[in-house]
Amino acid sequence: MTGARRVPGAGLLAGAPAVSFSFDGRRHTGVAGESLATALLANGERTIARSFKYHRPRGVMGVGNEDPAGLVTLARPSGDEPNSRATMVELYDGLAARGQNAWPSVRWDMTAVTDLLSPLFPAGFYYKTFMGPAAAWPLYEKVIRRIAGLGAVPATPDTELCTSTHAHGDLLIAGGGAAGLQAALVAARAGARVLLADENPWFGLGLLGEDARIDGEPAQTWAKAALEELSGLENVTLLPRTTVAGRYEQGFVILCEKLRDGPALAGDPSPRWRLWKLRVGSTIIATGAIERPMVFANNDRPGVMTVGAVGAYLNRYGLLVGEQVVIAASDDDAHRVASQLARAGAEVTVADTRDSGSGVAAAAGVEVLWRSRVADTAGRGGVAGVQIEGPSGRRWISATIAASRGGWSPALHLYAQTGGKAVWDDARAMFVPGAPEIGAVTVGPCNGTMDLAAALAEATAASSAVCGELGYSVTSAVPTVDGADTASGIPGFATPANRKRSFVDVQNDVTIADLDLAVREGYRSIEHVKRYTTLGMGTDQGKLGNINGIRAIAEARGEPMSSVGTTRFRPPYVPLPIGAVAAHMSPEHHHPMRRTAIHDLHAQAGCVWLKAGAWLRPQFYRRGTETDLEAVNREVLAVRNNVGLVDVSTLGKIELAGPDVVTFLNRIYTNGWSTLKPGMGRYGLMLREDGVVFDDGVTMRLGESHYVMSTTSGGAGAVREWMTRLLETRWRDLNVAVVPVTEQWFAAALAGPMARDVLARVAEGFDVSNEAFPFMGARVGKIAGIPARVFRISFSGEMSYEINVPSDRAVELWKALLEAGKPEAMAPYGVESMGVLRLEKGHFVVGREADGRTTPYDLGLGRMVSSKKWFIGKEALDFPEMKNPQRRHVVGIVPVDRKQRLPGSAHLIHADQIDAVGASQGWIVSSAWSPTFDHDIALALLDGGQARHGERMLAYAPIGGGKADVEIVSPHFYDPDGGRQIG
Amino acid sequence: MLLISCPYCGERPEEEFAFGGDASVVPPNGAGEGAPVGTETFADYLYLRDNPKGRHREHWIHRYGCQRWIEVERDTVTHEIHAVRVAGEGK
Amino acid sequence: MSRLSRRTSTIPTEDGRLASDPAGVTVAPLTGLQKRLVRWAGSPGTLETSEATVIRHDVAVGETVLISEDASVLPAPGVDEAGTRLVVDQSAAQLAFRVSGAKARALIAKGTAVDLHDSAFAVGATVGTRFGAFRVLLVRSASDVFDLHIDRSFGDALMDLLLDYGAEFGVREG
Repeated sequence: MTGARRVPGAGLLAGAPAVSFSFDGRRHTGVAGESLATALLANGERTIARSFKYHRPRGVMGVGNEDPAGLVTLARPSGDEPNSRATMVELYDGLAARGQNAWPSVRWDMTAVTDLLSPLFPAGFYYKTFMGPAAAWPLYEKVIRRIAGLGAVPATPDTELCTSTHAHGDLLIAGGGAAGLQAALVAARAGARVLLADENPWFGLGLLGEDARIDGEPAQTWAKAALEELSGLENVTLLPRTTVAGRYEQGFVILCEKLRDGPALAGDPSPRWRLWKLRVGSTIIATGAIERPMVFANNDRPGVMTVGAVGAYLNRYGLLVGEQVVIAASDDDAHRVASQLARAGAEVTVADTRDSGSGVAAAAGVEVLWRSRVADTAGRGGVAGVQIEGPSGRRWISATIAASRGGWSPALHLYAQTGGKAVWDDARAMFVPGAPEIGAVTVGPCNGTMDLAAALAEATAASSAVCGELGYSVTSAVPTVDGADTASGIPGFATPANRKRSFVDVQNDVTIADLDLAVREGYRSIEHVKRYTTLGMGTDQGKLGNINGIRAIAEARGEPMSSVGTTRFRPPYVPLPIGAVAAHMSPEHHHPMRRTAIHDLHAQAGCVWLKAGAWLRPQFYRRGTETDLEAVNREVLAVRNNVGLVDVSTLGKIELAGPDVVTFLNRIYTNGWSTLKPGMGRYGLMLREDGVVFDDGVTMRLGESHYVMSTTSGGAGAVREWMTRLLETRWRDLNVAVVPVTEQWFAAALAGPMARDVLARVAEGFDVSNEAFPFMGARVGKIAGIPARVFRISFSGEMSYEINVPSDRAVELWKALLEAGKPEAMAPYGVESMGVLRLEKGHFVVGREADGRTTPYDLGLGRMVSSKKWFIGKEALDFPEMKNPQRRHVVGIVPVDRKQRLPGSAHLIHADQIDAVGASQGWIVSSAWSPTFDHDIALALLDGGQARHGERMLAYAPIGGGKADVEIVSPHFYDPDGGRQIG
Repeated sequence: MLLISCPYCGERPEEEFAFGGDASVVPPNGAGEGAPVGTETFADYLYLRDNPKGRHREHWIHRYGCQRWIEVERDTVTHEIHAVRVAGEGK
Repeated sequence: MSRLSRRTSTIPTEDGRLASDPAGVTVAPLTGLQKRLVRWAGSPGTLETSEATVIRHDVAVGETVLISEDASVLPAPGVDEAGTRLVVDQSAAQLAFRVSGAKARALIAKGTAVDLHDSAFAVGATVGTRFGAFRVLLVRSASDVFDLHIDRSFGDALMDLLLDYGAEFGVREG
């Protein structure tokens, strides 16, 4: 096999307990806390995945987030997690993982036939192949979709807990390597509020295996001491396992912290993910550089890895990834890794592109071939042999691991996310950050500064500068460094001969040949080439492959790297679990429901709940085994013949006070307010500036310059904001106080011919007779001993009194009213019944007949539009179109055959036009069974409807096919003169 | 997530506010005390807006804080906020 | 190289449970508060509140909220003689919840983007802000005690959210 083996005592987890896990049903043993990738490599699982398009075998290539294709599905008790990156999952006892999108398994995948058919699947194949016959496309699509792809979407909801939090600080340091640690020390010692985040469980991983000394001690010792100092400081927040995912304007940064990989233990509500929404003064970006592999033929085989990863598996996890290792290098640091592998017992060969370099590897017994490079790999299911090309020709070497390093790519994503431009540096063969972005500094390798001493100096300078700006005084000096490898050698790009099998994007199967093709076909911009070939569009976002891809495009175009440039960098830096982003925003928390002050009483009375906008309201109250319709009919008839009680506390209530209230009301309502006397109220119609009905309600005058305005339940907030907007931006000279009191007052209405009788039993302080308390009157006194405001207004069309008391006495009031109404067997009614009652009266409702397009004239309320004053919307009502007699007007609808039910959502058409296009002349807006009339009734919007009463039409619902012959009538079915509410 | 400096409440994130549109647009005859406005003029006021690449004066309401209207001068390209003042002042 | 975790993730303690604070935070309704909204014309300093038992939140110029358990120290509702000061009773309009304990600040930080550090939000400070999807008045009554005042109709939903936020701390209802 690979000869992968653990080195006793090596790595950071020496001594950690053994745990068992499984992959594709095969049971293995691993070490708690090591990455799943390590455990799979250690147990000889080479092929753990398949590539997106060609189903070629995929293994572990890197050691962290940069790994392109080592994706598995974790089967967890809370739900499957597809596309989990094996290098980032920490092993726990009982972990169960499986390969994805392969049949029957990733080891033996029959769908790898697509690799043989690869000429049919070049970049952009869906524009070229499988084009005909056109009728067969649905079949092609079905098959191709099944074969292509990675993990499967889980069928059940994920029950894992996630949370999020806000945080603040002076300075965020992204990246806990040497530069990040130093920047943190400087700022923390100066007293700044510092957050230091690293995506790994440990800080300082880049120094593992380094021979350098910092301030006289081994680099790892320096790092450990730094960490201990930082963890003891109260002004420092250390965030391991935390990815800085996105950096936005004005210091806003999103971080994603992983709290555990294992399932939650019984009875422990600990979250798995925590999303941080951070606001900081500055960010120091110390995210390091990502190793860039070399490109050669069959460089996607399991066993092909990066040099740094191979070194990390040894130094971090104590795992030698293979017994026979070839290292394709172009710098001295790779020789150091080679020597470490050799000392751990591996047989190592180095193929270095340079003429000469470090002797460290040779001294450890490594065969070093200068002016050489890797050309190809061979082997079934993983690397078994490596072809090396050198001065004396090509030869094959037996090896299970082919590790390469073609250079470094600064991880400048966080810098570029706010629009910073990456600039190509020829000398160092890398893209480096260009002009600085506000509030962010890049230091260390992500800034192109590969040398350790220089990186520490940059970090110190940046951190000191930030502290200086914030007023903290800095005492730290730049640490001294000796013995560090200098980054030597100019990393090169290979020009492989076998371009069809030289991979640039290992997850999406994008080869050099694909990039050649895109350029040949005329795609010039890197953004277009990316999308045409899918280069870098996988879940690894091209961390290992993009720069190699840009190089290939530059070569194909015959242009320099700088003119190709990079694609736009966008957050997040890595894929984020949707659960972490959603965190606590379940539907209940995202759209919280509002409850009235007597919510529990409604529940106890057996109501059926309705979500009415943001409010939970009783739809109706079911008694015994009543059907819905029986309950509603009973409630409606009770109001028509007797008396009912309804909770109307959701309506908006806004107090207005001040000397200019009347002026203000006159400007915002279509009708006039100057003649309204104290103790009386008036219905008002409010328009938008474009003449469309916006809101309506009754405003009561309580005193000299004290009014209470009523709005619709859904419009309370919008009306309030509209009024304050007018007063604060346009009419600053008006002295009007606007105070919302919707929540301060609970309101219940007694409605029905017996309403006054009930009221008389509980009212104190005012005369309830019709003469003393006429329709639209407002009185202040007590109801059942509770201070109250009583308004005689009616939505149902019956005699009705709206009783307002402070909300903390709502329960008391409701119970007292029910008690007082016992002789009449008064019962509560709900929103559904209210809807039938208002429909019978022909009252429009904002949001239904007033649908955001209708004007007062369309609603038949022309008499409410004053000609004597200016008001908001007046100019628009004078637009020629607003007076067009063919506009849609509100009309009433009844079925010609009264026993016929009206179809829901029906259009109004002439009966002989049932199949004609454009036949609709209007539609039914609200309909209901009327127990008062014993048939269906409806309100509709009909072209020119006000002149068409008496006409017969067909109500037709194309979806469902319902039909009924109907007659157009006045919308005011019940008591059109309003005598019942006035008496 | 913009950071907006409310004159009453201090720096707050964008999610505490609601956007109210172009603040530089003045309603013709906005209190009805002047001469009546022609249809064309009023329709332009209702429906036509500039779309500047750069500085934009706009209204926001601090819905989750003081609930007051403010005027923000924001760069539509960089999102830099150049000035914030109480609405209606400094005209 | 030391390994730091905020909470140990894969390695349980001896008894099999992860270390957690028992009832690191408590959430309880706060009752019996009287509240007035005062709107006044004139310069900001002219509204005097003399009693130490009053929580005063200045919303904006000309608008202040006063809260106390003692109604007698609060101005009576109504308009004053000069017509320059309007006092509206809001005592029934809101509910209040007290979040207290070692994890109180961590819980509140989940809901609001206001900086809760001692240097930015000291004991006695008040702020009107967004908390989750709600508009609240947040008061720091003590170092580990935060009170949330919210419109009555949202009370149940806010309590649900507080319990959700507090779940990882072992929140207890008081």
